Amino acid sequence: MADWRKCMLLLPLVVLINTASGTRVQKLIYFDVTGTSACFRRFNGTHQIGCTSDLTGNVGVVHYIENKSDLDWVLEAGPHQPYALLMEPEHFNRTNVIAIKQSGKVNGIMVINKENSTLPSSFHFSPDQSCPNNVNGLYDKNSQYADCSNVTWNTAGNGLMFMDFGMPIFSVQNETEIDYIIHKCFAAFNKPINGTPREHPLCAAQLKDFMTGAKDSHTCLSRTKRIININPETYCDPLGDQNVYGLLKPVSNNESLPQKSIIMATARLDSFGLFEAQYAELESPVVSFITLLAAAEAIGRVKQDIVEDKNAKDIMFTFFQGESLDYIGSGRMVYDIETGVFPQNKDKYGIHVMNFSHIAHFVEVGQVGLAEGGAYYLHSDPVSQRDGQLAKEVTKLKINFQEAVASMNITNLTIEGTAVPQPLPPASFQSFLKKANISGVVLADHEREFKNRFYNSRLDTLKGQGMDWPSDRPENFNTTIQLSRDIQILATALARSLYIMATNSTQNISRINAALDEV
Amino acid sequence: MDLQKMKVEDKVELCKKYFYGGFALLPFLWVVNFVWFFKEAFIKQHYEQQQQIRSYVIKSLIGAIIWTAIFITWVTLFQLYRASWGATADYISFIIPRGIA
Repeated sequence: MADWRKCMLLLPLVVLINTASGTRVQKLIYFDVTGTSACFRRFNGTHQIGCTSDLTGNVGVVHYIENKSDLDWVLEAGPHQPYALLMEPEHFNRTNVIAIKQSGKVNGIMVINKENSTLPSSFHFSPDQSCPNNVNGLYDKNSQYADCSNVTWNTAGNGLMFMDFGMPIFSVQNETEIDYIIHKCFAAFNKPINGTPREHPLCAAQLKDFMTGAKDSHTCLSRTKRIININPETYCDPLGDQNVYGLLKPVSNNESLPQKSIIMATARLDSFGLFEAQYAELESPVVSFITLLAAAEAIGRVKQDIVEDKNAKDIMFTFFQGESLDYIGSGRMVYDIETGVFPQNKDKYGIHVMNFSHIAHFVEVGQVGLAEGGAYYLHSDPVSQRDGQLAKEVTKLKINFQEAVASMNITNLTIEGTAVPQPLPPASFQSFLKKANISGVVLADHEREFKNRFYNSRLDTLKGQGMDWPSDRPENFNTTIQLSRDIQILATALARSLYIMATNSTQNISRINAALDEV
Repeated sequence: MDLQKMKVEDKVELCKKYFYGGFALLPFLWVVNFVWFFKEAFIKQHYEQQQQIRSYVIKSLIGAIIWTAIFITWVTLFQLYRASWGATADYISFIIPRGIA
């Protein structure tokens, strides 16, 4: 009886002490790094690419890679595997990543991605392939032009986007957190002294991004759709979005649409990057679609000429989404046109159904942000131009551009065809040419390889490309920089060229000017 | 059910029921049969129906061994080759592991 009572007294005391001074042990051990962006897993029909971690995360001893010698030390001499490396961006390249993967001593990578960092001017980084969209492009089976045998478009491409890493890779943005990891974690506990490794306790990082999907698109989609499970689980989502297009004078389904009466003026809307939500995409494609939008705005102000003239061709401004991953958007539009449901079924009330014979010309705005000395080039496809009639149309398009430039009376702007016949760069135009012979050009700032050293990467920003907001004026929508002026000039030339193509006349085109404010 | 207190005929009936019951895809009945009646069949002094019980027990053991062999083979094959069977394996699985093929 006495013991009972003593126990009863003890119990409430114990509970009280616990609730009074409880601190989560996790907070004492862990430091949360929140300014991060993960590399995640993606699939196509046959492979999986990207990163994943174990279910509870990958724990690795932190090691800061400032120089190449640090990386060599980890891979050859480091005894405390597995490591989680914190890398400066210059060292995050293909050779190093392959060496890291093969060593088996590393189970996670953190890439430093500070906003205000300055990278050496010789640094280039493009996770896309050196021949982008190769397999699904126009020249895949062509013996002469397949696999970029004629010109390698993306020389900076290292193909990292398409590797299956099998370990988590994060990009760390927050400067305070990066300093914490370097100084309070690595330097305090892990940094080797004169090459000799330190002993435990060591500072480690736990990187967690477990991907449920696996193998390839078909597998993970069919697993998502199974109806066996009581708790349905989504393994992956399909990539998709919407294309945007607009016609100047749409013809309804009841009326007739003459052959070769639509000029398609297109640009790409998307890009990709290794890390989620870090799709900087300045040179490709933001500058492209802004140029096209500015040209559309300029033509909009004179559209009465085109709308009222029965012989004038229509202009369809089209913005494709999903082009960087094997032409999702343009591929879909081509499929819809082929099956006769673009823009909608011919039985429905609305815009007239379109097929390839209605398309007169195809003008695409490729990468146009890094032109040197105002020199732009018009790329055209050599394979379809073996047809003499088509070649003549393409030549005429190039002449239209030059007439537009001539009307502008400025010195440093040239828009010419490429010097030698060469294949088209990766462009939505390729999807259309796969199904029909259409005359068209792709406007770009590069004659051979891309001038863009950061194609489809997180570093394709104003700062990355060496342009920046002037330091005396803060970043806001009313500030004009040189890039804005270049876009305005190009958009004016593009608008005038499209007008000439549509109306077949050069009268009064000097009133067509893109507005700098709008840009 | 205490075997000590049962009559011999009842014991034979029970052993027989367990033996035939095991054919309904119930191999564990055979294992139980073997273990339970082992003493009856082999250790005790000879009595008249012991031969019957003995035969049932031996046949139960053989059945249990065959079943175990089948199970082990199937489980090994599935664990090794599930990934390479692709969609077929997904079709016959109730739970599919996440994150791997």
